[in-house]
Amino acid sequence: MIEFFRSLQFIIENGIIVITIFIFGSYVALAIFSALSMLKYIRKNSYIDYKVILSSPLAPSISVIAPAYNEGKTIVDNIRSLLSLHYNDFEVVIVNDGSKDDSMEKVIKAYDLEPINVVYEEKIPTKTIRNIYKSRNKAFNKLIVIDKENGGKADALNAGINFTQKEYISVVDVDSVLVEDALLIMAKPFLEETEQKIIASGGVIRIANSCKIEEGRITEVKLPKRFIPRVQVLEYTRAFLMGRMAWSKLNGLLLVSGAFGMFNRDIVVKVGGYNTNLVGEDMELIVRMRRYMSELKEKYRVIYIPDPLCWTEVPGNLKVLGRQRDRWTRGNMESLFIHFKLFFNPRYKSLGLLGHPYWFFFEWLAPILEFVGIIYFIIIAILSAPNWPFFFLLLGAVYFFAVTLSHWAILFEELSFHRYQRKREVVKMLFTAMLEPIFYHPFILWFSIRGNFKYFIGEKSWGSMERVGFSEEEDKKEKTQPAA
Amino acid sequence: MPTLVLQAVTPPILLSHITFNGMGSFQPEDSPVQLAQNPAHGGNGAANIQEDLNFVQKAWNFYQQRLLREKILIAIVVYLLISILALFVAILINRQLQTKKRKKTRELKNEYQEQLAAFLFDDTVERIEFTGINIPQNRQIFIDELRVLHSNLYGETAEKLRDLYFNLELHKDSLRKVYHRSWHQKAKGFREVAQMDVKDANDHIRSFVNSKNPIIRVEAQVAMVKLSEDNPLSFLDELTYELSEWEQINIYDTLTYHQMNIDSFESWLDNPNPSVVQFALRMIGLFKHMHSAPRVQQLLTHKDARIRLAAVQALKPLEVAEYIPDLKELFRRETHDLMVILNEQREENKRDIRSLDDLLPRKIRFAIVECMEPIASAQEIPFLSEVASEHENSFKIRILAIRIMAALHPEGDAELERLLAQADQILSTMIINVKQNLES
Repeated sequence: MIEFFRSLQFIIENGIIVITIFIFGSYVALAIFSALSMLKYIRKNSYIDYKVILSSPLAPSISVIAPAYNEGKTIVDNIRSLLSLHYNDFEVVIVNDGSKDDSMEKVIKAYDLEPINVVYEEKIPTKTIRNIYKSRNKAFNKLIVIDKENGGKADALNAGINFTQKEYISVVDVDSVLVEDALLIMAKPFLEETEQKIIASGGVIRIANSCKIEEGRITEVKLPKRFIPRVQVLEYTRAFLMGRMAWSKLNGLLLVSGAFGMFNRDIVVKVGGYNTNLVGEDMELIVRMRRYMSELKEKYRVIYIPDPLCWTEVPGNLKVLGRQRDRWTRGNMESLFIHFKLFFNPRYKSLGLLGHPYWFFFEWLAPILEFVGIIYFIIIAILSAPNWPFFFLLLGAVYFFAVTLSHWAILFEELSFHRYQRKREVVKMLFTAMLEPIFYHPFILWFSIRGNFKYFIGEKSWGSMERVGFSEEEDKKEKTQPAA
Repeated sequence: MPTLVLQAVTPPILLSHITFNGMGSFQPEDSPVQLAQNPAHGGNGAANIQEDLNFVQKAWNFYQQRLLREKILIAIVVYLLISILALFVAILINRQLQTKKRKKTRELKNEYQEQLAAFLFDDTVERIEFTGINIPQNRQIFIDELRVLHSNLYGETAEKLRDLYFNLELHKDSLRKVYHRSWHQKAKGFREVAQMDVKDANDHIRSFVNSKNPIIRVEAQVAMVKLSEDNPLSFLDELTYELSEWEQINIYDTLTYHQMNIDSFESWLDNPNPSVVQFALRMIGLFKHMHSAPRVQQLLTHKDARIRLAAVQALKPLEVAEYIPDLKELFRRETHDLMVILNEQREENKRDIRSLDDLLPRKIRFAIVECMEPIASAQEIPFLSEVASEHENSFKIRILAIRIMAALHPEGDAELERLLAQADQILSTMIINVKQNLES
């Protein structure tokens, strides 16, 4: 029996080494791809004048759709911020998804809204629309507010998609803060491509906790004071600057953040809009759009923009973070399993051969393997003497690799967008990177395992969505997924 | 590799006493005992070195005793540790250098702005020495500031700035970039010479209007528009790549910003490149070239649906009522095509895929009705009524047709009343809605 365990241990330990090296290699390859793409992007856009889009009659029309649920504390300022975006032919569609607070009353009063008569085609089925409002004040003529019965975020977005007739839709979380040129920058890739259709573009999501915000604009960027939001800054920087940039280059991007993304409306409507039965509707839509284009044998791309265009707040405590992360896990699993046909399917090219398998192994399976590894170690420790040198060396390698990767991400940020200006902020980030694997990652692993469990027992809840504004004193709403 | 890594982390003073034989085993030249006894090493120092050596020896022995997989892990750990240290230091040094550089650039920019303003507007100043203008990095900052200022000025003042650009021989810097091997330097150079009207490299730039690199291509095209005095768009004749929306926006912006007058875009309506034809049609519409309307009308029957769409869209601002019969005929043809596609899609629906083929005919049909909006007369009411009543049509086009009819008094009103009397719920809601909106 002991001999059997020894043999098993030998096989597992060697297997772990191979897998570890493979995982390290994959991350290094992604980082290299990201660095090359980023360098090209920065050089390419360093002297671009986005204002030519602003003044051009040839520029496409855009509808900014922002679903809102119980956002009464911030909704008036947030709408003002969206209305002040720099773009010529655009509209802001706020979809009140049956809020139970005073959101509607506040918006009606602040923007002098009145119900309008409008007939439009409900191409995607949604919950009942109660009323559609426009402002009496011409200054707010770009604003449309749809008041509907509660049906969830996906349903609210579908209601906005049904209503708008613009060429592109930009989906925004109403509480996110966009930089003024966000639409101009986001629209450009759609205009540049001739050989392939750009079906969606996504941007970097930055963390606004501790930042100074005045009238819906970020006026001072600060690193969060508390550990949990601060470590998420690092996590987002790593995921967005090192992961998604590379996946965009490889045309394997499976996710455009729900906090800010732009889509070709025709394609979204063709695929039937957001799936209202899922918790990870943003990822599933992109996978479905990509699958649709592949099946039609149309050339297409999903583009990623590294500019920090969207700032949002992230969970400030473990309770809310946990809810957010187990929901993300369930969202990933939904998309991966609904579209399992893509898995290593050459018919879907980079989507089937790279994107889907990567998410399957690295985003879904990796935390499970890690968890199993811990259980295995405990069993070995109980049944026989573990190979302690091997254990500590492996632990060290994984720890130092995680820290190295985070340091590279910080260097990328320093060399590219350099948003954290104070020297002590960068030092704090470097030390946070050293603490992250010990004090943060175990929780993330646990939340992921919990998400898996909830998925298999069929739980579909989103978790609570309380909103308190951008201060760091209270819990934060759960937001956007940063995973590679 | 583990040997090399170990060497890298071992202080050089210790390495001077250590050699590695061919088998990779540890072999100190002097034993620790000998070192301690050697008076040249001193008392405490020798003891410390001995301790260090013991540590290195222990570490090496530990490494030697490991299995291959553990040796690999040791190598990884040591390598990563060094990386972390190196990155930590690199990030902090970079931060320090970047902060200094940014501060210096900011100061220099402010200085140049003030000096350029004094050069242009202060008559009391006879001669200005631009700070550090001979240093290449400073020259680039100066060129950038000069360009920004130049883009906001017109006439004599802009000309004065251009003279300064040549007198300081900054055009040579720009031309160096134009001929540079790197694409981003080249693109930057194209932009500079275009703005400052340096024509010395026209032939060279022209050769890049068909560059594989789309960034170079758009910069070369914009530069050619600016630098080709006689025929700014002549490069379109030799364009082999599709003209992207981004390129079209930039070319149009250059034409309008510099108030360039193009007499006719008609010569590009026969271009074999469909995107050039689309661009020419768009320009005809935007510049309202009424004299080109007959040529646009001919393209309503073009085999390429994208060109048919651009032709209809170009006709809208021209408002030529005599082409309404052609538009109605095109509408019927597009409807036929759309029905064929929809029937195919219904078949395809069994596979749960609806193609994108219906989008263009739909867009053309909508553009036709939109084009008729400012020019429709009572004669068009039967056509519009048919569009409004047809269930296959999208709500968008039906509502537009109703809106046009509602504006045609009194015949349009009468037709809407007739439709309302026999309309289903959707159509009646549309009609009532349009009427209510018109009244309010």
